[in-house]
Amino acid sequence: MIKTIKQCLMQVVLVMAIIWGSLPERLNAAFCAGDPVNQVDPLGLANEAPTVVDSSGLASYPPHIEDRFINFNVPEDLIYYAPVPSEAGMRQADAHAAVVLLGAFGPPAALSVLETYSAVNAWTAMKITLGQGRGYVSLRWLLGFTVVAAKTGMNIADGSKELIANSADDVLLGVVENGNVRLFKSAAGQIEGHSDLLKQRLISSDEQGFSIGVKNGQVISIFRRSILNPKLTDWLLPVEKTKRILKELGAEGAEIYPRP
Amino acid sequence: MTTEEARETIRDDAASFSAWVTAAGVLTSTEESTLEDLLLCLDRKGLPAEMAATTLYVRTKRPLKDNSPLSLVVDSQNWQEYLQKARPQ
Repeated sequence: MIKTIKQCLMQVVLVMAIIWGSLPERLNAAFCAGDPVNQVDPLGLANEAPTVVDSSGLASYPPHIEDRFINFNVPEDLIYYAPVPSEAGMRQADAHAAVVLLGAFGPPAALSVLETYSAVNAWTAMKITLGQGRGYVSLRWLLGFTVVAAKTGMNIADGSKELIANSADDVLLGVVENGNVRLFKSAAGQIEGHSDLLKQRLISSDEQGFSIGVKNGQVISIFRRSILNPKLTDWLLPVEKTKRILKELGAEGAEIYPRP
Repeated sequence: MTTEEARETIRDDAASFSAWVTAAGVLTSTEESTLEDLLLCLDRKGLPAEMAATTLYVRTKRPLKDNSPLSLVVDSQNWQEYLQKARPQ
């Protein structure tokens, strides 16, 4: 019975890995700063991208990184902050569920404590304690988990879909933060761009921006460029995130500008 | 919308705001667009101007005052003067 459940879970994770695993996700801040116990990024992963998650939920890195993993001696009860991109919009319950799911395969046996969950520098931190001797496997698992977590869905704010449905020929201003998408109707002389939303304190400059064109209640286009994105390459919302938003809006056929 | 249609739309005073946004979206997404096209987007204010301003910053490598979105220059006159000064003599 247990074996059957384990096989089922393995298949679920395999599907997750196939769907999400091939998509690169940069780990811009592999470990959160400010933790009094942890070293910041002791494995030097900050600029590395695990591109593959295998069937047991482990992230795969290039060989030189693998060597670092193998040679890294994780002390007993060292506390790490797992980098879960906050844009994944994961709630604590989701994180727990994912840990339980992936934990069924053994490697995270060293994952002894899931203590806190909080936003740190645009990353959602998940505090864990690694047991002696299992750090290598646990870290790989953990980073694999973050890749999976980064591919989870978006939450569309209440009223946004109605706003689209009620639009005949309009432009809606969008913002996304922590996986939450909000839409605002633009109006001549009142809210003509994201700067007006900022000035009226309807949004914060920490949010990322985009806009969508709507005709007859259907999203026909999405524009990735926004003044809210100075920290993103060419001020453009990443393509993957754009596609996830469109998927949540049920508008996967909409034209994306600039085209991917 | 093609680049040529976007050029016509951004010059059309009678076009709707959403048409200008789409036109600006097209013109800021292609390298076929000229600086003049982008300056015309600035004249439309609002979202078309914001899109054009970010594209102008990328194309001209004009330094940002800071990372605050509100510090972006979206004024057409200001950009024209900057581009004139930046033009090689």
